[in-house]
Amino acid sequence: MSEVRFEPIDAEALAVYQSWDDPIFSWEDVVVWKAREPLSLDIAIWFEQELCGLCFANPNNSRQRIRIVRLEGKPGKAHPLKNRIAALALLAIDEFARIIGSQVIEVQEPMPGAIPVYQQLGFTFDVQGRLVLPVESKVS
Amino acid sequence: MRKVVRKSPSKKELREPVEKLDRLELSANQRRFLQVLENGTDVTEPNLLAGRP
Repeated sequence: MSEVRFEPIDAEALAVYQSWDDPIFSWEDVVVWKAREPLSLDIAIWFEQELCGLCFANPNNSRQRIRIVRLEGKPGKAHPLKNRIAALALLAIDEFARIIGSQVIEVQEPMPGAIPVYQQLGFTFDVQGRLVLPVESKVS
Repeated sequence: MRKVVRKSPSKKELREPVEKLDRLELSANQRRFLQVLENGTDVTEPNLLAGRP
């Protein structure tokens, strides 16, 4: 996994995502969101020179909860990080959540087909029906 | 002329990466994420994972 890189969603990522086959989101929106939400987290997940995933997450005002607002893998059946995009994004989000003191990671509007993936990663539905994962402290 | 003797890695050297991993402080979440990274997801991961188009 040494060829995996986490970068901000910068001009390079925005240029490369436009070459994806039929991307779902307009990721240019993130530029505006980042300016408006200084504590937000934007991640471009690369494998060598191939852009494999994009993510935007944002904490609420109290920072107690960080929401995954958008997460999209590169369209198509095969890319080097297929079936690993959510896990990679969560590694970064979980670390970020700990840094800013968040208690919970929430998936905002998870697609039904993605719910089993999140459940495998430890997410459960809370009493309000939100798909959440408590942020844990590190253990040795 | 001196003979070059190539030293094979000792058991201690071979054990080192495993011990380094053991020394990492990981939460249960991180261990779970790394397990999925190693094996992939049980179901095919959809491209759209969060957010409404």
